[in-house]
Amino acid sequence: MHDLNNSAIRSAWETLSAALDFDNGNQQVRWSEEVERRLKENGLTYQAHTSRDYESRQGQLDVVPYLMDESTYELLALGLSQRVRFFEALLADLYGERRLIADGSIPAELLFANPEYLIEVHGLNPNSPWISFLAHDLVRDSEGQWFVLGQSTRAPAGLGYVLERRMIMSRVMGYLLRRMSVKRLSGFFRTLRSFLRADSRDNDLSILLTPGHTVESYFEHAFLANHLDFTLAEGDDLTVRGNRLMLKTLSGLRPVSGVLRRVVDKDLDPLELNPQSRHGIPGLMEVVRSGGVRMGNVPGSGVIDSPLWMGRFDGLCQKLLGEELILKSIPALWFGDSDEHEECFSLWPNLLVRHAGAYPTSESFVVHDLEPIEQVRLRARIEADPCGWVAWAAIDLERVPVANGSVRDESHAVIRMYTAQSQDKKIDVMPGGLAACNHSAAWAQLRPNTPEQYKDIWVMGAEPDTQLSIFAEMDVFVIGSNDQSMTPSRVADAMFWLGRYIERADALTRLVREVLAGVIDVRTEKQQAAHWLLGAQINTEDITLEDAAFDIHQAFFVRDAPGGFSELIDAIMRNARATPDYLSDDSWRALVNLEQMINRIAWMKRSDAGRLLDQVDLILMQLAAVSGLNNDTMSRTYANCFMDIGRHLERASKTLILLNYAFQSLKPQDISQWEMVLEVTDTVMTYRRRYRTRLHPTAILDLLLLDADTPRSISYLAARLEKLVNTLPVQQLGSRKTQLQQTAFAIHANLQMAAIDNYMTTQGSAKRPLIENLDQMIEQLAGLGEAITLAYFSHADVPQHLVKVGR
Amino acid sequence: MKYRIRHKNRYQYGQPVSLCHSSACLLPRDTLNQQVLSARLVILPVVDHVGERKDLFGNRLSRFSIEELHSDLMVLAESEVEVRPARNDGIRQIAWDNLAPIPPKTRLYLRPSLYVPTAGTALKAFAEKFFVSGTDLLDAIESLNEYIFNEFIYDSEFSDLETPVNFVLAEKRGVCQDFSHLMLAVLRSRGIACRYVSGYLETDPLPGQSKLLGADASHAWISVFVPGAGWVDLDPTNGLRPGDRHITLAWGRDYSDVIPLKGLMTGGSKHVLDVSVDVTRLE
Repeated sequence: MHDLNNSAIRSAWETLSAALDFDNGNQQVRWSEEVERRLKENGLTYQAHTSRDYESRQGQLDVVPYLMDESTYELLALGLSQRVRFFEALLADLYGERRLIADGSIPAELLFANPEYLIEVHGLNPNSPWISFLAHDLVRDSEGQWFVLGQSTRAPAGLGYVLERRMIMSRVMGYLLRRMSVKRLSGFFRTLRSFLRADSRDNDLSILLTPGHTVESYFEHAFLANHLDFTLAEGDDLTVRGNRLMLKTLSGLRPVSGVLRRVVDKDLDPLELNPQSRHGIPGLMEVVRSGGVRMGNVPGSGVIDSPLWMGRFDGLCQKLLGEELILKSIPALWFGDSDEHEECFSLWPNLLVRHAGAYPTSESFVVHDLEPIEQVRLRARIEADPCGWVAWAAIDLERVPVANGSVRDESHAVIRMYTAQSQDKKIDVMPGGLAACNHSAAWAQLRPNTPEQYKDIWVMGAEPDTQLSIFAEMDVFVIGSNDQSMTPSRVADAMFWLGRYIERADALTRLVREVLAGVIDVRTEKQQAAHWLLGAQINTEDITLEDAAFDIHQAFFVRDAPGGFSELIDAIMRNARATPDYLSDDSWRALVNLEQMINRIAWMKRSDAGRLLDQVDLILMQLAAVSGLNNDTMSRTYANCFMDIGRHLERASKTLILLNYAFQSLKPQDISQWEMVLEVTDTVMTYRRRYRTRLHPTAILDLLLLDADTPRSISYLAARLEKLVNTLPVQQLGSRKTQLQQTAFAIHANLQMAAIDNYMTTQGSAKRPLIENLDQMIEQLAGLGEAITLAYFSHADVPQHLVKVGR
Repeated sequence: MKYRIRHKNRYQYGQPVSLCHSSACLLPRDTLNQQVLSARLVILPVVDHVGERKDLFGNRLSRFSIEELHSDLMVLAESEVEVRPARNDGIRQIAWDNLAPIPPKTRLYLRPSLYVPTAGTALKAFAEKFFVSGTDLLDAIESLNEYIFNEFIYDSEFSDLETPVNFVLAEKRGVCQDFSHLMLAVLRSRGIACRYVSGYLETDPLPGQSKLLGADASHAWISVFVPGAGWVDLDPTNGLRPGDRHITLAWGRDYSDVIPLKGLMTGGSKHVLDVSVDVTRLE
């Protein structure tokens, strides 16, 4: 239970438990549901970002927070700050003079068996602190003694989650946070931000370097980048020129002076470090060495994450700082030392064992939970390389209450707390964090990164934090002032194609809808028209539409149908994932729904055309939701501009292709077919309002090609395209931009000079110049697409290794 | 003995390269028996700046970048070096399994490394042939060195830069790099500290002297730490202890620490590498 001997905690707990127990505990149930619902909503976004199952997202959020009084926080803050100072001194020695190795203070094997020790970093003298942020996992034993379970320089692993979970808690029970004077987190994030922003040159950028959407924590990276107002960038978005790190943006290469990295140390530079790395930037290490970029954390600092030397920190701190370590690490034994080795095996199998790799993800075992044969195997592995393993007897952890329906039971907690260090070595400890809970004390301390539940940590101040209201808590982080010309080229490329694929899906859906509506119509002419329309999309020679639902399902809905829905949605999601911080959460949800819908239809067994039609209507609605949201909720950035260009370009060429098909194959009296042309282009209502006559090909051409006010007409789209192209950044493009503008202008001009008499006979048949002109415009549009790619997206070359000189 | 070394590396690209970041370990270091009189890199296209630093092992590493469009890259290392034969006589006999402790920093060379695994049953069985309890350290190492020279076939078609040691052991074939890695693996598996040495051999011997294997490109051998005596070099490719015909370039845990030239390029597509080495005796 919470430490009820502590009066501050006791009174806070009274307030908290009274609130939870309100209405016979139903308040706790309602809040739990609310928390779960909000997590699930975010989870959907998460799933969209990472193409992983939401279910795999570990650890729910407990509605009961972990309570911490201010004096405990201050004690921990003092201890954690001291540890950061200690690690700075330790790293400086390890990568510098290595006195601690030479004099035996650190056994040589302990360092050399540490897979995070990078010899390539030797001699590096960073122009910033080694550790700009650090996560510590702390435990309190049943006697109230605090220990450090491990530390991770790969922080801010979880920083995004801390934010996300605090936001959820304050939405669900905001008044409680206020009443209990819970300390706010925003100050900490400001320090973190200022660390990488400090004295940055005017035009320089700060970025969050991520391995990309293939890693599980990508959602968190995007979330954090957004809230810190850093550009989210992958290795391929960056390059080294003139010994500076550069972001490839729409307006050319822009220098980067601050990097918050989520790429592991070894993968940062394929030239000097892991040559197989696909997440790094060739030449980066030399930039770091010469002080050209400030990086948090400095490459090589991951060496402190290894659990191997936990038991030795106390002595080393004495040696380096002349101070006793305030927060001791758990008393872990290292198999590489013969005495400790013997002690370990005398305790065997009542031990927890961890491998040398970075905490907390390195291999770990609860030995007595293993099968006897596995115990033997583990022992053999340890004996084969004892220097690579540590062990400790499980610590009896404090118990904390967790919600269980309307009541509470007990669990064990590991506290994760974060420190940030500024350029001038000011250390800030976040007054909060996450507690990782597990009903098994052993598993809680072995795998704190995969707990049964998380808790938000509430540090309670003596009096209310009056600076800002609790609701401003959320707003503080949302700054969103990123200079839009800083958009990475890769992102703009993805937005362009996202726009194109969404529009392509929209066009296909409308076409399939009309075909289906036609085949279920009793009238023969409608059925013939449906067959005709299908011919606009696929080869209909072998298709009779006797079993229309089957044929159409085969042609467009089964998985991997060429040009079908599954291909389109894959392309949409692929491009969307490359642009995470440019789409709103609502857009993400709409996209995920769309994907699920299309997958469902793909697996649909036999169906009739009517049922399929219902499904297609749903797709169309969902697509409208995606498009609408993207127009309404996205801020107008270059990225959006590229998406708009993609959409207009695709829409115009799809309409032109349809017109070309119609005017070459239809007679004026094919009324059902002409009607379908209007339906597919979504202009039936406009036509009726405008012409109030029966359908006539000349009027249709006038509307769809030449009418400047109809948002679906080519004339309108061409004008929009010209305008959009003119707003694109010109920097460093020179003649290419001019060429681009000329192409866009040519299409628009072409239409402005067109006269309907040149195109149509008085009887309503197409003349030769119409077909020629449609063909020409289709080609011009393709040319425009290529010109945009050439001008803006051609930075995408990925570096390759040279053949090494051997022997 | 004085030598002039010209080590020329030339890349020709199928497509122009717009950016190339490269790292070279081509400038020789001073050693107890070797003095570098002059050393320089010539790079074409011309680069503004070559960054030089010493790595953990004390090797000279050069970093340069070419940021203009080029279809051809030439890196020439030219140096003059004076070598004296190592004096390894007078090393006391000592059983390999009863050695004095190895100094802390040197213990790095006891650990397995990228190309030098120390586990594996075949390796263990092979090692036991030479390291019987109580055998004199240098005797054991010498016999291993000679065994590799006599029983393994020098075959430059057999292996590439990534061929695993176990494969070399199974097939008894390879080149200097493979034999050195194998020997390091055997020694480290027995708790003996040893390092990989990259360097050159005299290419055209004086009349009456035999041409050594591996003289047409850069060469590799190993060095063993003998507590109380220091480092002793062995060349398993030629079955001898290097004297004044071996010129040291650099050393490390294995080849990956001392790659003479590597890089990453943008563009380029397929490319060919042409290497030539000339080691001329000056006096």
